[in-house]
Amino acid sequence: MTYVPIGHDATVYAPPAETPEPELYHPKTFIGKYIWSQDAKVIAIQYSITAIGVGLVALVLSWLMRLQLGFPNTFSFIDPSAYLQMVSMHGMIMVIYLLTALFLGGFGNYLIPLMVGARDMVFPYLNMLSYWIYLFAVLLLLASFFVPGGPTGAGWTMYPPQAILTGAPGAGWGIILMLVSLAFFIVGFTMGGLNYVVTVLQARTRGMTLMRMPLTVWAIFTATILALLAFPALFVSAIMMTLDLTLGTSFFMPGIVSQGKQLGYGGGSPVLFQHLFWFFGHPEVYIVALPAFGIVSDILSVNARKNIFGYRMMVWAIVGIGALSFVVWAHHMYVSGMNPYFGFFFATTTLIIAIPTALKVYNWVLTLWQGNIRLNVPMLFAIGFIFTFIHGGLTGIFLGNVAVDLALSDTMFVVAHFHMVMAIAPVLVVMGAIYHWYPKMTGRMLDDTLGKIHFWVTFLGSYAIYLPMHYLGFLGVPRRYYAMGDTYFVPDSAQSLNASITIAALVVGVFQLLFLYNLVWSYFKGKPSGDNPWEATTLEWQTADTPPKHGNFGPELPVVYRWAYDYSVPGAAKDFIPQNEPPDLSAAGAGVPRT
Amino acid sequence: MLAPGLVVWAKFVNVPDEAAEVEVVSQQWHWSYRFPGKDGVLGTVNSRFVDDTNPFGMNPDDPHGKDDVLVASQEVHLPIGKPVKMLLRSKDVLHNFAIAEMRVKMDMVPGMVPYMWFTPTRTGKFDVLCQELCGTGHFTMRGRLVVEDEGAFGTWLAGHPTYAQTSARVAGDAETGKALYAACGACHGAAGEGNAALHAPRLSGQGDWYVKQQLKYFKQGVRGAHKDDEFGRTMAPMAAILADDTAIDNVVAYIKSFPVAPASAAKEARSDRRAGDQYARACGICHGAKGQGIQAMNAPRLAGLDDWYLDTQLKNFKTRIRGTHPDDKYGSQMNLIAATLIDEKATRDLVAYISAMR
Amino acid sequence: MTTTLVALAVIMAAVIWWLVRPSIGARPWVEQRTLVPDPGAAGLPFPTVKLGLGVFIVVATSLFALSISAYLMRREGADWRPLAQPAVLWFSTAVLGLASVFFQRASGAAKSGPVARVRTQLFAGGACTFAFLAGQLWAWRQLESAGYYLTTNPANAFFYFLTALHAAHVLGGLFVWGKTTVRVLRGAGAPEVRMSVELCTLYWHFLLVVWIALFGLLSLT
Repeated sequence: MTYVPIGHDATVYAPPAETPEPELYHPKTFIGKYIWSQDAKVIAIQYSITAIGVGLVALVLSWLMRLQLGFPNTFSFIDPSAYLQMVSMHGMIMVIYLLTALFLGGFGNYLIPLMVGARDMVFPYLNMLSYWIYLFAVLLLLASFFVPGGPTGAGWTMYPPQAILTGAPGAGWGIILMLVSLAFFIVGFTMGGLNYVVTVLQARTRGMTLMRMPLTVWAIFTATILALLAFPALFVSAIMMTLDLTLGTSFFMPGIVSQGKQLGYGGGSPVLFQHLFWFFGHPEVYIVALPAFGIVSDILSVNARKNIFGYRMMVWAIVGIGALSFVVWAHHMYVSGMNPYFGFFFATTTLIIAIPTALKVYNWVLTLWQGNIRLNVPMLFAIGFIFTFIHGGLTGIFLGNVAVDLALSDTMFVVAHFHMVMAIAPVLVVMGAIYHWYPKMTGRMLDDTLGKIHFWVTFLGSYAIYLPMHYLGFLGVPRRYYAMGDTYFVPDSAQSLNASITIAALVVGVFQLLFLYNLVWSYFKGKPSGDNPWEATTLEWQTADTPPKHGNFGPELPVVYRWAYDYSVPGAAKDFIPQNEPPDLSAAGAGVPRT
Repeated sequence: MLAPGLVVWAKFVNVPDEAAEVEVVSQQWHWSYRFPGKDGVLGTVNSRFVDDTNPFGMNPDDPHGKDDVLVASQEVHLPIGKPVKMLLRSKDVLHNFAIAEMRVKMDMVPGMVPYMWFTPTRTGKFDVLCQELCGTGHFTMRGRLVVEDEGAFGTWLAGHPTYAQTSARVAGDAETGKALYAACGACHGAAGEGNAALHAPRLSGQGDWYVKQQLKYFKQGVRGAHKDDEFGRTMAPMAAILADDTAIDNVVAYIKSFPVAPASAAKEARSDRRAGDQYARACGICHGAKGQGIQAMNAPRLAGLDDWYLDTQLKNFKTRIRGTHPDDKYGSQMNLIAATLIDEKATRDLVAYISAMR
Repeated sequence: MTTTLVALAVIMAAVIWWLVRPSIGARPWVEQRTLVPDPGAAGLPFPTVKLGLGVFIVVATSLFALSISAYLMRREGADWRPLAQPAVLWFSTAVLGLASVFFQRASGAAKSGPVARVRTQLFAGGACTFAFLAGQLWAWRQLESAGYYLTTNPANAFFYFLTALHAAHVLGGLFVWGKTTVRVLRGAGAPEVRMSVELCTLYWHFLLVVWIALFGLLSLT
């Protein structure tokens, strides 16, 4: 692709119009500014802090369950019930209350208005309500640790019947609080989601066509649409399960003899719940993955000083993955007892989804190709993401293939796969994104050395954790087992492998504290960053103030003249041209339009 | 990659016509099995029929069910080289019948009967694991598949009762049992109250099914044969006195008539919250919230048992003196559970809590 | 799940058509000499709030489509005994239809007519909606007295569940209606409430469509 300097016709060029100041909510007090705030940036930070806080709880839970697996029968407070409760809460918190909330509520709120050149979200009041409902949902969830019986231990999938029968821990209070908390989360999220979608559609600044939006916005936008369409499935099933539990209906409950007692249920279908759950659950994977895709594209492009390779294809791949993600849900249910003939259809659709995904990976690699790479901390995390995502993606092809899945499902292989692809990969992006945008949020850089230590320990550590776990899965070690005991097919050496995984997990976990320390320390002592430390083109780096004030841009909204990826344009004075930099009028008539 | 995968899957989905049918019945946290018997047809079942005398939920009016062979054990045997279609039935929650070496697994869904098939090609013992989270005891839900030649399989199958036989069983005669009990009473006490000095546990109040099962275990050398089982070894020859199943039934019927008396040593009701919590989370799910024992869970009564006996047995399970014999149907679960008692104090607290139960 | 998939396919097709149309020929990497028409002003096809409501309606459609899917799948169960449909549901349907008509007329009045006409139509629409809810409650009472309890059969459970889900959406609509009516009573002019009235109209049409779908489903199966 060659670029030829382009001429501009001054007669057609329109200067930016005076945009009338939209009505913004102007806080008067400290509380109005930081607590009951309607500013998307403050809400974003509230979302992020809450999500990271509850995520730390889930991290500690993962340490505890790793301790049990690595060193069984050493810790008296981890009994079989507690272990299952840890597994369940860890999964649920990480997937929904951390990753979904952080990507959409946190990054979505912060980046969408800034990147599309809007003053704020279109419905600020709804946005504020969204956060407070989310916080309430988190508190309900945490409350379940303190109720009689403790939180639910039915797995994050909460399959009935066991989720609401006495054999599972937390089958009374725990599961009710979980279901109610999820319902609130969904209501709150819908309010936020409406905002993100409508803001992208309605509040873009002059010149910001859809196809000029940074991929981050595209990805968060698509993920939000997925979430808006998929979360109702969880909502419906949560309500129906609550009715089964409290009023004794039989939506999901067949005739059951539990612990020698006949229960009053009859005829319900547990598989129906699984269909509803995974109809939400599979898109949920992409709700977490798509924003990561988008953010990584932008970080790679900025730090390779190159435009993203195949921008249009990237957009379509995002949308295509989103659409396809609704027709693959039953690949989580190959061995669920549903009609096994479904396996043919869902295996096929599942492998088809690999095509747009692989396309994205190729495009990322080609973006790096011959780039002028700046190997800073966000870039390290972005490249780390490509590695872990490829690994997780490849094992996904194994599991998506129904005949292979027959042997591997419900083993540690599955655990390793989904942690690689939807835990480590997105979390690396979250961290990269925090290193990338922290300067904009606070006006200070995060410490580079600490960042590099943090990256290498996290990246190599996650391989130390999950590579051996694949092997355990091949051996046939099942997931969600409190202790293996004696099993013919599992050699004793598996136990030493488990111990080494645990140690790696603890080390990686502890180094996340270093990251938190870095966040706090740099807020006060970090190097001042200036407005655009990464020399990036997108609008959020062109604000008048850093951190941006309420209303984001100065008195005038920026006007966009170009796409977000004008890096290393031949003939340009700098190696990047911000989106809002007007075309060079002096060169009018010189050269031909580039194609 | 997809195409060969789908071909293999098609093979898995389409069961060969000559496959023999076997039903696997699962419940929290046990396996049991049902073979179709001579007529080759499995009788109909319904969860409505399930109770302590009919754990398989057999339809009493279905003629096909009469000759069904009921295997109330975690272990199943299969003949080598014959394709077998496993019909998977669950009584309560989702389970998953998985044999790692056969590379097959399928969920068992209450209200449905999923299936899977395979051909055992190698003799030996294979572990059966539950691989769908089914509650606290999930990790203790272990079964065993033994693949052997046709002859051995036939012998094994013939050793199990048909439905007609189990339902026709007559209750033991307590009067006849009274005479037999004279030998037991010397140690266990005239009213089955137990004797700490002679290391004889309380029998009164214990479920008859459990006493019967343990007597058979002692007699067959499943229990009390381990060289370190000091007190169990004294019981083994005693159980041998009982000549046959009828004698066992009779003595059990007599034991059942004992009044449920308070434990010998007067103890104060303890309210150790931690131990109570531990009991409720780990033990109570099977043994009942008040330690009353639940036959359907194969969990004996604990209330009324003396602390020294509980202590010995928990340690026996933990150190694998008890429960590891291949014919001990459900003992391996207690091995896994007792292993969670990490030290002397944890065991002591729990025992103190249980022994105060009434 | 087929129902849901069809509903989703329609939504997806709309989204993709909307997306492909401008993007297929777009060459974002080409610097534009001219400014694209300003999307911030008259160029927007819908007012922002209306689009917001539109997106919400899509979310609610997904919710109902999934519930209907669950209904159809659960219906295969052997224990399914259809319930006798109370006749009062025809009355409910009629009044909800009337409410929709009144809201449509309120919309028209808000565009041109005096605010008094808006007020009358709004009241009539609200009254019809309350009548609808009363009709639903009455239907519940009738079913209950006829012995169709929530737990006796999944068909009953679904009937109560689906009608309650719909009624919850109606109540949400009535909240906005209440706010609008209060504004009208406090003397707001027609142009000031025009947007609120139009939003209510759109939402009530949606409620009517959902109800007809549910009612049809419940009576036909």
